Amino acid sequence: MDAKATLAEVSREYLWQQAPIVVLCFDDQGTVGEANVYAKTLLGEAVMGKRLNEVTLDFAGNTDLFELADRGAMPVMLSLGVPGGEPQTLYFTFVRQVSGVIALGSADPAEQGRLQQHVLALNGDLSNLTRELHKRNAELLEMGRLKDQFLGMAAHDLRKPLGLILTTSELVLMECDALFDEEQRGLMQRMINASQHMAEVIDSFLNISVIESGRLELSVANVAVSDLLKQAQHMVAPYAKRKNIRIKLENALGDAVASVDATKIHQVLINLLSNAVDHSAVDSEILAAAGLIDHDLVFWVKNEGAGIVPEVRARLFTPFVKAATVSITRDRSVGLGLVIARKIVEAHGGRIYAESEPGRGATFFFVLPGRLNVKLAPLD
Amino acid sequence: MADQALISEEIYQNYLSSLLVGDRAACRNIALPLLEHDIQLLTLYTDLFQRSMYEIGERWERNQISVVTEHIATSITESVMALVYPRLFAHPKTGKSAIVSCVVNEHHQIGGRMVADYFEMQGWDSQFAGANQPIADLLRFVRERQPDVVALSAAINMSLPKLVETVEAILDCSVKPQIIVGGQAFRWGGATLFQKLPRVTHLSTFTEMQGYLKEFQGGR
Repeated sequence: MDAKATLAEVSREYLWQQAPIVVLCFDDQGTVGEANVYAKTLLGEAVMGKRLNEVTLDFAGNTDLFELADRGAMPVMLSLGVPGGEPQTLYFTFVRQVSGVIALGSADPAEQGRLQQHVLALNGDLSNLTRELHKRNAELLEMGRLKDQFLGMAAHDLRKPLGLILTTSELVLMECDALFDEEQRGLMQRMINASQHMAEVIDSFLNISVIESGRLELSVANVAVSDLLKQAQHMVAPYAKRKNIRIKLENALGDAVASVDATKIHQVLINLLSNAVDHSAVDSEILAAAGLIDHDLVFWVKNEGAGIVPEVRARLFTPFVKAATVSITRDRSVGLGLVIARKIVEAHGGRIYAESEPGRGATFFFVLPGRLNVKLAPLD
Repeated sequence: MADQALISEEIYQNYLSSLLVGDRAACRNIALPLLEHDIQLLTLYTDLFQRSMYEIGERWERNQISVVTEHIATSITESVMALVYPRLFAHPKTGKSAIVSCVVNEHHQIGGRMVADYFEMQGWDSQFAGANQPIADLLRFVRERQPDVVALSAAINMSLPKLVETVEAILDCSVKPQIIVGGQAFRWGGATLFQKLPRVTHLSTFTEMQGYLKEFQGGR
């Protein structure tokens, strides 16, 4: 700046180049002929040649530049549409010129201060709430861990004496069969059935306790897909036979092998097949199959039962939810089987889901991405 | 006492004045007793939060209040809405799920958040993706969550082209949810842009949304 510059020149230079004040010079046609650096920064170079109602957010469509200028020196609140940013409210003073109008707009510092205060207060509250949430979360995690530990210990301690009751009862029934009349044999059998049910429940609790504590470890090895299907069919067949249900196998993958924890995938298939038997009518058929979905290995189990209502289907894989249709056999499960199945499938990086319409049976799918090892044909 | 009677005109005007001067504590102190009187959450949302925010928006459009005042009022409303959450998330669930999102460059999230909360009131599990959601991120979220419904909110008219683009991207997605569009952006029209698109419904009010969800749960 020239040392001899007058105050007016200095002020003008400052206003034009640096001040955070919008200066727009409108010509007698009401379009912007000149704009200072701040106005161009805020509104873009395209501000030149625009009318006031093209620069401001004029929802009512009645912003009249010359009328505002004639109104006097009272500042007018107007919001500017900032390209690529949030709108900004400025307080404008309009000054009539011989030819045209000069508009000077600036933000209200008191308002900026109020916003700053509000942001600081909100930030403080947010930090406190975040702290409280984290603290509660840590407490909940600890409570969950203690619950799993208790469940695991209780299930483990119950398992041994129950095993003893079960084997002793079976032994008594076998050894003393001749001494019992039919009623006594029936009572013994009821005791054995109840003990077996309790053993299944305890196993479910143990499984859940292991999974929830993050101790589910996979022992992955290559296993033939067809073997997985056949072994599961073999295990469930006696149970299905009681209702004269046939388990049909379909394997579209031939002799392909999968890299999975065979014992655990076996457990999933048995769970799905047993559920299918529970929800199928006498003399019906269940399908257990393997194939591909989008190049990924998929297993599915389909029954012809009563199906699952949509409200329940969405929650099937959460704890203690059972299909809302009535199980045709007596449903003795605790509602953890599908949760365990889901956890096992997810531990393999897969997903499990069901498709069903009430009255039209249900199909349970589980997809295991990247688990299929295609067995190459031997070279000639 | 009827819910509407709980929010008298005097209470409403006090709440609105407190919003306009940015008095967060006063707003909380008005909302808390209403919650203690077990007011229906929808009444609280429509007759207090929505009504006051519509009025704030109109005042801003008439150059009666500044952007800063509008932002502070929005921020206060969002913080007061959080008081509702202990009750909101305790609603029994229907098993249906929804993702609610604002489109890219749309920074006004309060309408979307109210819609997400309304889903919860109706027993839906709703995820609120928030403001200014890039299409790619939203699609990833949709594929991951596989919701029954995706609801897209736009508060300003300028967001409509992006809304159309987002809807078209979801229609092409491998997951096939129903799509709801809505928000203040439609005050000057725009619903016809979506009329011919399959699986897309434009809804203007919570009453319309209630009917839509009822029909949905009846077996869409």
